[in-house]
Amino acid sequence: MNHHSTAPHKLITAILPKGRDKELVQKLVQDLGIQSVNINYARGLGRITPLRHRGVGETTEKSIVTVLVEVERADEVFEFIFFEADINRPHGGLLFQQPLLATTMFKLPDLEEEK
Amino acid sequence: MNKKREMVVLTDVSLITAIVQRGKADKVVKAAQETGAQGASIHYAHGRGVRERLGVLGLAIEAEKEVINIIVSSDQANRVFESIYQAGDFETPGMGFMWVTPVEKAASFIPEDILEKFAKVDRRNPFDVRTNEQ
Repeated sequence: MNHHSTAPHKLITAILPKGRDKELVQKLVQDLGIQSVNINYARGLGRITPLRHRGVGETTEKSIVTVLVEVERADEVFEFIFFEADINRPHGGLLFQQPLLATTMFKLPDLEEEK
Repeated sequence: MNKKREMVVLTDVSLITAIVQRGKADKVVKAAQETGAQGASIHYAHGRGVRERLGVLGLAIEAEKEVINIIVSSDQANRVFESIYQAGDFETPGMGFMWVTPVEKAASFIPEDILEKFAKVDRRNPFDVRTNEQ
């Protein structure tokens, strides 16, 4: 069984303030044609968070977007996410890229988007 | 406002992932922050495996888990890893599990004053800044 793809992939993870995920995923799918995006939600604990001054602790809600991309496109997608998700501002989130040892291909059938 | 379109890329960072019983993450993250971690993200998961083998009817181990992800600089990774191990009581069977994965690069907002501070560091002597701060 050949489950390894010929082109290895990278895993890009963006930890974003809650609510910034949907628009980003839309752009990744429509503008870059990426099909392997996942979203999960988490609570973030930071030293300094936007709500700290209100005395509601240091916890904020986060959206975590993980994207699997081909090695050749990794830098382009990394940069795209950084600017499109507006990470370069205080409390804008964090973006990181990791190598992977093995991946499988994931292709969606060529179907029309559901309205 | 016309924002500068630039990205500061951080290298030499690692990702520490720890799985603990639900309700124990805050204590673990506090310990990690005390040893230098800036922050953490925590999400929930359902675990199984060791639970069935420990305690009466598997009641001793909480099946609900908290998964903690912490990005740290690679030179801090061992220290933070050890503090999590102690705070999470990981030597007790069934308490949790953690690992470190390599990160090729990371990017986030870096305040101007910190960037300036790093720009002044003598690259041949990485202890330069630390010496000046003391």
